[in-house]
Amino acid sequence: MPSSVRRRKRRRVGGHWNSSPSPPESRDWAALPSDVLWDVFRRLRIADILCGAGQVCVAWRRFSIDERSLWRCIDLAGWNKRRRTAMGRVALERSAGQCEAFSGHDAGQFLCRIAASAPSLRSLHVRPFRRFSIHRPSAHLISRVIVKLPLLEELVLSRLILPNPDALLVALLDYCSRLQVLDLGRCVTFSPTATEVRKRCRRRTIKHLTLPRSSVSFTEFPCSSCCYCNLSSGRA
Amino acid sequence: MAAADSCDGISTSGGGWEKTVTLVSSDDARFEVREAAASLSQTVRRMIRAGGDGGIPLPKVDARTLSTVLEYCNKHAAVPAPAPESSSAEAAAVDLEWFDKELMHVDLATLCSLIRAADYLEVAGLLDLTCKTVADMIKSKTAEEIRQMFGIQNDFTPEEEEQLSRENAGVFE
Repeated sequence: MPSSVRRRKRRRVGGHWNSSPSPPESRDWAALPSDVLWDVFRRLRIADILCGAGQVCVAWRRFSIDERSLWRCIDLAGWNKRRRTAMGRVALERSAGQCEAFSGHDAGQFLCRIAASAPSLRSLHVRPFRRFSIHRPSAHLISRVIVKLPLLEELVLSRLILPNPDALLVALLDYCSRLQVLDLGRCVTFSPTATEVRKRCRRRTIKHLTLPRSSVSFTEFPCSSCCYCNLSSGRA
Repeated sequence: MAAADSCDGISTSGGGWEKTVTLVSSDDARFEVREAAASLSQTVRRMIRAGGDGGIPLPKVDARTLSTVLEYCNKHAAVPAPAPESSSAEAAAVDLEWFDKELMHVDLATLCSLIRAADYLEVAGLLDLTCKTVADMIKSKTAEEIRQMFGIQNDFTPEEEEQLSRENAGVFE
């Protein structure tokens, strides 16, 4: 093993130096200082770290596991369901509760896992795997997700059907006091948001607020894609 | 590369007087550079403040690498402070971008030395540039491809290899 990677202290330059020739490891990629590795790894996608750079050698692997800050922002966009779920699981484990931003396509059980594993989450962007997914009952979204994310500042839900968005909005207003961005504009609902809920939303200083649009009849969307029905039937 | 007798000398540069400093590489090559350019390195900046005679020793950077670092510093220090959006500012930005791109056309051993030098000298812009270059090379590559590209030895034990393949089974199709 070439060398173990340790968090390097920032050098303070004084007046004296031990003059020594440039060591041969200056061209050893495996022995790069940890802050250089961090600067490189932070530019990589989750998949590149998990399946590529993080498996190159012992030092790089140890760094990718030990450096929690690499996993603060988890973006799983652009992968198929199976890989995304597997990668998301590992990424959440490595974040050790420090994940602050999550963006992905999962909206069902995995969303509950995120809420349970990332109490510091500040930004959540979620789309379902299928084109439209029905969130019913919203109670699950509230009890298993929203109440566990008190630090949430940004919530963007897309392509979801929210049969009763009022309960969700009230829960967000009650539990997520730091919410600054709430974008449900790409979701649909069957009942327009109640006036009093709208008023409450306006009273709060949410900088960017987009409510779900009212849509057509319920029968247009079959419940087969409801991600929360699985939870209700005990598969959670 | 220009030989200089003292550090913190005053010498002519272009039409006027400019303060220069002398940097000494690990192989005792001396570089006289404008202080404004040398100060892009936070390490050098601190040493200038600390003062000293006979040039600033940089024992972890060889002459070849230091000359490339200084090429970067000279170019970037020459660019005036960001002015309001104008065609000349835009042209300067394009020119710098082109310069940076050209500077990164080096072999991997040089790139590794450069990245370490940028880290040691704390030249933020160059560290950013080199790390971005390396990250772009690594993107979408498998561990084996990265090992071959950078000449890194696979130092996992058979047990660790087994564990890796178990983890991969969950992620890969």
